[in-house]
Amino acid sequence: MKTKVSLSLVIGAALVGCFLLMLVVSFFYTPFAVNEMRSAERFLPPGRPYLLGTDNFGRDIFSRIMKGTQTAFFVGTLSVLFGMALGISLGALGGYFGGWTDRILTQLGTTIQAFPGVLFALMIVAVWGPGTFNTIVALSITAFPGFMRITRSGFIQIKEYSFVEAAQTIGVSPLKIMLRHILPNLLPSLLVAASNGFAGALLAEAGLSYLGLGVQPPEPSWGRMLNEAQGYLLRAPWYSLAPGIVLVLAVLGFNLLSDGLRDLLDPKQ
Amino acid sequence: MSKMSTVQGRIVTFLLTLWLVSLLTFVVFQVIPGNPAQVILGADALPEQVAALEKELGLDQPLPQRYLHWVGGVLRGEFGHSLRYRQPVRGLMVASLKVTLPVAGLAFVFIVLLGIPLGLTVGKYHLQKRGVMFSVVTQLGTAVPSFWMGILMMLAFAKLFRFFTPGAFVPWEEDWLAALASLIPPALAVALPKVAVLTRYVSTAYVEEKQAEYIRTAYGKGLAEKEVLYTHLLKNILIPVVTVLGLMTGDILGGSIIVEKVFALPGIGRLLVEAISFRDFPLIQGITLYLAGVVVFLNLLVDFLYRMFDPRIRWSR
Repeated sequence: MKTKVSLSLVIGAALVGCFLLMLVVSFFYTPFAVNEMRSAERFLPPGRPYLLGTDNFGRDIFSRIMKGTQTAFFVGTLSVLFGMALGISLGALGGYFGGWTDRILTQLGTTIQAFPGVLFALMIVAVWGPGTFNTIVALSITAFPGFMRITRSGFIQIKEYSFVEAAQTIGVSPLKIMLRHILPNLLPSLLVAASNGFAGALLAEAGLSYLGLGVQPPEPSWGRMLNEAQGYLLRAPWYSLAPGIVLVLAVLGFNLLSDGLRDLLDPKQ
Repeated sequence: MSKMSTVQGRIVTFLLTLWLVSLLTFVVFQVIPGNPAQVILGADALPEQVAALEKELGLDQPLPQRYLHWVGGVLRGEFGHSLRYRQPVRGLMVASLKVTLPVAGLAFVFIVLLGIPLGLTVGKYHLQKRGVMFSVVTQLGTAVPSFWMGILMMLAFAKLFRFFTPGAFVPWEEDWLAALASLIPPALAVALPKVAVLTRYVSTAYVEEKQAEYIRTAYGKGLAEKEVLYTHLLKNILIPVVTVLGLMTGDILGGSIIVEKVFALPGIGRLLVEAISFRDFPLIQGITLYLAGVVVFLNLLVDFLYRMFDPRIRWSR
C-alpha cells in the first residue's frame, strides 16, 4: 500500500508548522514589547525597525500579531477540545443506544445548528458578557453538534460489525466497547474534523472580536486588531491588511491540513 | 431517516426545532447570574428602579407563565418592548431587516450566478494547469472571512476605484436605486468567499458527472457544448448544489451580520450588537429567535426542493 501525501497536506502542515513556531517563539521573544506605546511613532509604515509598521498607539504590529497567535490558539484549542469531548460523548451515546436517547440528542444538535454563524456565541456573550472565557464556552457549544454527528453515524455503522457483537456476547461492558472497540476506528475522521473545526474557531473568534464582543483589550487578538484598524483604513492600510492576511493564512493552513489528512487517512482512496 | 422522511414527519421536526429554538432563546436569558433587572440597570440602581423594571419585564411572574406570554406574543408577531429604544421590538427589527435581508438575498444571487458558471469552467479545465491554479485560488477564497473581504473592498474602492465610495446607506424610501447600489458591495463581500466554495463543489461534481454515458450520448447527438453543460449536466448536479446552498444559508445570514459593521449599515447585525452592549434583552431575544427561525425554515425549504428536483427521492409513505 502506498500512502498518499497530497500537496494540500504538505502546504497545510507547513503553514500550521510556521504558526506553531510563531506561537512558541512569542512566549519568549517579540521584537518589541506588545503593549508599549510610542506616541512619536504612530502609523509608521512597514519597514525597519517595525517589520509590519505601527498602529494608532505606536505599538509594533508584528509583535502584536505574534502575541495574537497565543490568543487564537488558546481559544481555538480549548473550544475544539471541549466541543469534541462533548460531541464524542453525546454522539457515542446516541449512536450506540439509539432509540429515544438518539432522537433527543440529534434534535438538540439540530436546534443548536439553527443559530447561524456566530449568533449562538453572540447570545452567550449577551448574557455572560464578552471575554476570552465566554468566547471559548460559546464556541465549544457551537462546535459540538458537528463532532456529535460524525461520532453518531460512525457508531451506528460500526456497532453492527461482528467484532462488536463478539465483544457484546462475551459480556464486555458497553462503556468499554465504546471506548476500546468502536471509538479508535473513528479517530481519523475526528482528526480531520478537528482540524477543520480549528479553522472554524479561528474565524469565529476573529469575527466576535472584530465586533468587539470577543477577546477584550489589551489582550492582542487578530480580530480585535482588525476592529481597531478600521478607523484608520486609509491612513494606515497595513494595519488592516497584516492581521487579516495572518488570519487567512492560519485558516488556510488548517483547512488544507484537514483536506490532506482526509486524503491520507481515508481508506477508500 | 425513513421514519422521519414523510411529509408529516418533516413538518413535525420543523415545528419541534422551532419550539426548541424559542425555548433555548428564552431559557438562556434566565440563567443570568444575579437579578436581570439589576444587571441591566447596573450596580448603583435604586431598589425602586429595579422593582419597576422587574415588573416591566414580568420578572415577578413564574417562569412558565413568562415563557407562554413571550411565545404567545411572538406568535401574534409581537416581540415585546425594547428597553433602550422604548419601542416595540418588531418595528426596530422590520426597519433593520430591510437592510439585512436584501444583502443576504443579493449575496445568494451572486453566489449562484458566479459560482455555477465558474465551477463548470474550472471543472472543464480540471486536469490542465489553469484548473490547478484555480483550485488553489478557490481554496484561498474559502479561508477569507467575509468581514475582511469587506475591508479589502473598502480599501480597493478608496485607493483604486476612486469614483465610488461604499458607505452611507440610502433609505429605500428616498431612492431605491441608490439603496440597492449601496447594498451591492456588502453583498459581494459576503458572496465572494462562498462563490469559491460553490465553485469547488460544482467543479468536482462536473468532473465526476462528465464521465456518465448520458453526456456522451448528448455530445453524440451533436448537441452544442453549452446545451450539454447547462441542460443535461446541470440538472444532474443540482442535488449536491442545492445541498451546499442550503448549508450556506446560515453562513450567508451570519456573514451579513458581521459585514454590516464594515460598511456601517443600519441592519439587524448592528441592531444586535448595540442591543448586546446595552443589555437590551427583549431586543436580543427577538432578533436571535427571528434569525434562527429563518434558518430553520430555509432548511425545510431545501428539503422540499430536493424532492422537487429529484423524483428518485420520494417521500416514503
